[in-house]
Amino acid sequence: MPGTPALDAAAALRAAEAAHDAAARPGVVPPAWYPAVNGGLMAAGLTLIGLRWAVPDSWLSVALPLVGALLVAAQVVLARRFEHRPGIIQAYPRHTGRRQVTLTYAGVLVVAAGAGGFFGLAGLYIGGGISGGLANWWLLTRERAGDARP
Amino acid sequence: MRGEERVSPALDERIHHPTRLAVMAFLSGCTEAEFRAVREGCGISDSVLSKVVGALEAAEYVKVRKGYVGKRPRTWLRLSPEGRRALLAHLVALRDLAAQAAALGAAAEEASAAEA
Repeated sequence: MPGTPALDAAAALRAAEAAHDAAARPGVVPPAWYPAVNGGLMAAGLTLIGLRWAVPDSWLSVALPLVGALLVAAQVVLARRFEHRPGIIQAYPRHTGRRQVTLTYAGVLVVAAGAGGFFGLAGLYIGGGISGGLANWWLLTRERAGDARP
Repeated sequence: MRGEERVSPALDERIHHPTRLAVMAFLSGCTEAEFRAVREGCGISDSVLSKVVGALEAAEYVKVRKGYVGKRPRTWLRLSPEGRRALLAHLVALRDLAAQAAALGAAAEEASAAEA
């Protein structure tokens, strides 16, 4: 009877898909503002740290890296809140290919290295911060859109 | 998919059993998962998961890493590259089987309708 293996195979496929989705789904669906805030905190935090080498020695050169470090710490806390799932490690985003992710962050490194070559440590931090923030924003927006798809 | 059923040659008998397939599919959804997360995700007991992991580790489809979180021992599981390939091939074979059987069923229905 041709229906039986088809039904068995279809049931096995559905079960496999459900098991895969149970591991792949995010623990918490991040809110719409999260990609922009994550990217913005990274860009602003590293930019402020980088400005430490662009301003003359004063209270500002102490305050800028402190505020920058606080912003980066806030980004890490938010990422842990919305992206961490106990017992599950996702090294790569779920809805973006590994090649795309690798190329995106390779681009960030190139921008940071280029800016660092031209402007020293300030350029390295600011270039890396802005390009890394944009990369995070783009990737997290894609992930959120992918999670929202049925 | 009953235990005594013969496995089609295209299907991988090492992951054909529903529990093994569920564990493999769960691990394919992440890079690495803790033993307890897999157990809860697949809805199986500790002992069943231990047996399944033992069999899949022997087939070199699953890699087991033991470590500590604080002072508590933890076991982490992940699919090996061979495991990912085998799962993909198995799912393709299942899809083919479902499509072939469905096509045969449709053809048989058409033939009986034409006879009538």
